[in-house]
Amino acid sequence: MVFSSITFIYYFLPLVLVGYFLTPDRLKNVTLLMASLVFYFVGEPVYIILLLGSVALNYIAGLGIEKHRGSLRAKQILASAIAFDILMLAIFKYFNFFAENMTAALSLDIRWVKIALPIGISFYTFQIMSYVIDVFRGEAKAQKNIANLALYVSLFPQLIAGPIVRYKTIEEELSNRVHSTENFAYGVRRFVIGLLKKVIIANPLGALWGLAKFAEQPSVLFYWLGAVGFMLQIYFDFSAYSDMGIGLGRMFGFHFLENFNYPYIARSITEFWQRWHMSLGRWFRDYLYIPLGGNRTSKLKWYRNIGIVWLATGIWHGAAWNFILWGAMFGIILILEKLFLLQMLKKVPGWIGHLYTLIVVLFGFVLFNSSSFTEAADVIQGMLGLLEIPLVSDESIYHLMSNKVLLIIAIVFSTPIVNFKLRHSAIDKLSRFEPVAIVLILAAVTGFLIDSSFNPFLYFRF
Amino acid sequence: MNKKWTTLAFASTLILVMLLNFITSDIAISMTERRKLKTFPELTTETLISGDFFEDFEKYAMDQMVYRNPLRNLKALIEYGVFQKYDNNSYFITGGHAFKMDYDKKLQEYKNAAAQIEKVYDRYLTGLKVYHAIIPDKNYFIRNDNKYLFNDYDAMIDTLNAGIIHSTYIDLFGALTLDDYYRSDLHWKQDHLGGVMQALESAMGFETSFDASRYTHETLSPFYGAYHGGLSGLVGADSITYLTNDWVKGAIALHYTENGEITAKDVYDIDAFGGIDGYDLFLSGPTPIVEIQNPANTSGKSLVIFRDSFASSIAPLLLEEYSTVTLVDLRYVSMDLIGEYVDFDCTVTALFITTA
Repeated sequence: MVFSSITFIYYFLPLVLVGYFLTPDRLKNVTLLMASLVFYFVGEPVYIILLLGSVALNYIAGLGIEKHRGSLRAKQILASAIAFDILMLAIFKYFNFFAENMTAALSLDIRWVKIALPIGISFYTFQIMSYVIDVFRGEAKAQKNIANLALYVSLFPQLIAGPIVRYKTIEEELSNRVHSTENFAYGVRRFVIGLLKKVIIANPLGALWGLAKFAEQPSVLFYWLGAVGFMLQIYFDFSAYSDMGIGLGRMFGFHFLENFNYPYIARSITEFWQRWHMSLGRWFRDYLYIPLGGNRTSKLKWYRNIGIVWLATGIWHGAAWNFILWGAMFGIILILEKLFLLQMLKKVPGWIGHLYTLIVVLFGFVLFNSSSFTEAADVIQGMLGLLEIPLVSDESIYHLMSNKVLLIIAIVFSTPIVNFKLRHSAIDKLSRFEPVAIVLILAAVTGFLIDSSFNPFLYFRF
Repeated sequence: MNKKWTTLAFASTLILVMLLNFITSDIAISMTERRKLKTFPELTTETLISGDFFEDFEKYAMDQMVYRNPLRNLKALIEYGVFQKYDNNSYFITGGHAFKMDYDKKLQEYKNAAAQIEKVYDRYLTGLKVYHAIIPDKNYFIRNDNKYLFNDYDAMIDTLNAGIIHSTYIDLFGALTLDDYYRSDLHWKQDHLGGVMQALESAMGFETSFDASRYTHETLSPFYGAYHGGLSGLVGADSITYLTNDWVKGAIALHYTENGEITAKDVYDIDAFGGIDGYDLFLSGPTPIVEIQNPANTSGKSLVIFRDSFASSIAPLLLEEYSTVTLVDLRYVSMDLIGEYVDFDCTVTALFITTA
């Protein structure tokens, strides 16, 4: 189930909210756990067993680590738990990719059974790994109540698409959190803004890539339109999910950390990654980069560490070569920035840094969004005018003009300009209309959602 | 204080809509969208485990959402008003008329259509009087509007005419204007076909002359055209005015179905107007072969129209000239089978009607 669905907004969420707030405090976690498991079951009726199995094993591991704290046994338990978690990820996320490439590389004639990717496995595996590692490091206590641990892992606001919540971030709130109108209203605001971003901004922007890809009249402009459309779509889509997750969490009293901070205003790739999918960046920093030695080591090892982290980041995003190349590309650029680029960027006007970052990110997302190297190469060649296509076509101009307001709105709201320009007094005045705005946005989002089911019967023509 | 109102507005909206969704009865057909709406999905262990139930439930929830039409209308208003988009679901409005974006027609399609007409000629029509007419697509009339994308109509018409050799071309382009089409639909209006009838009379040498005053004008409404749903109600419903008289009322439409059965119906199918497509009023909608017999016309002349949907509404007006008008829809019947149902004797005139 996704947040931006009628089933979630008008069936699941109201039932859960009513059930949760009618439940006595001591049973609220049970209600929320049940709701989360139903939420996951709707999307993954079978693989819910995998989720529960992972919770059970890491629960036992956490208790074992605490019991044998400081001994070799604790290390062994941690290593076993991590190995199990990574193995699950390897089997369910990467086996198909590995098998296909091995078969091709060794010219084997083997027909592998395809393994379906369980929804959210990358997110919840990283979360549960953070739990056992935090317990091992003594940064968190082992959870005695398996229901609470299951709730941490399966908590539906962040289960499917993050943000990746570290155990220690909500450890306290799992057993003791505040429910208030203030929290709920904040959560509502974030959730509804997220819905608006996802349904009304991101989804229509996403159509541009498809239009460009299958254009009747391809042109350089069309390729750019598709690429820019996707770049904006992925930001509004992903950050919208984070907004909705953070908002829903807050309604139930949880404080999740922010996941995006206007990444497209960054002046370097280093800064971009400090603003984009911050929860993933923090996870890799705390659980891979620093344990590898981080930057407190020789320069060569430092660059190696960056390389490993970015290969892992690429692989984490998907089991395909384009993701690996995408991660490697950013790894190399980040190393170059550490070597000399950042120093250079400090000496040139700020807009050059912005432009450089946007272009790198734009071409990076072309690679990210392509189903094959051939497609990526095709789009990049199209953008650079290396295909035998015109600069503009009627079709590309039509779609540019038809989407100009959407593009302008998306560009403006991907920056903090509006927040900066609006004075606090203006925000206070506008906030008076918040309840009305909430209802109107819900109505608009619902209209957009149900209109996607429009499938007319047209009288056939010759 | 405001936080309480925000909380209340959000929670009460969600709960109220949920309750309304639970208590309101499901709707079987959306007349404005011209389609059947999803019904509650089958709930079995199998559909639950496979996830099909939840997928189907979302489709059901979208289709049966309370205030579905006003909400779709709101979406279209936002697309047009806020985002200034040129189209909504590839449909657009200009001059009060609804249109569907259509700009990717391949000329090969028209070469194929012309070749098919030639094959029919070779097989059945040698030695007979054969005519062909092209009905301009509604978009043709706004083709000079630079805001939208259009097919190359001149090339399409030239391709068709170049490929159709054994036939006399009847030019209908001068006989029609945009106002002769429904606002919310792609079809022409039967009560606006005086100019088209004159063009046919002149080219085909009719012995009679069409006079709308000899018909009673009956009107049915609302008619939600094919484009109404795509624009989420932004263009209003039409009404259909059909022309009838004793000849038309006395005529019988014999529908030859795929399994060889013959069903006799009235020329105007009033019940079909209440179905998904109101335009099915004319000859009950798409059928492979329909033979209209007009006992009041004793001329013995017979017309075979190879047609698409537009011909359904002009056929009744041709009964004054012909004893029998047979409509063959080449999309639904194999060329080999046509001869089993239609007698191509020397009294037959053939008319191909295509749209471009």
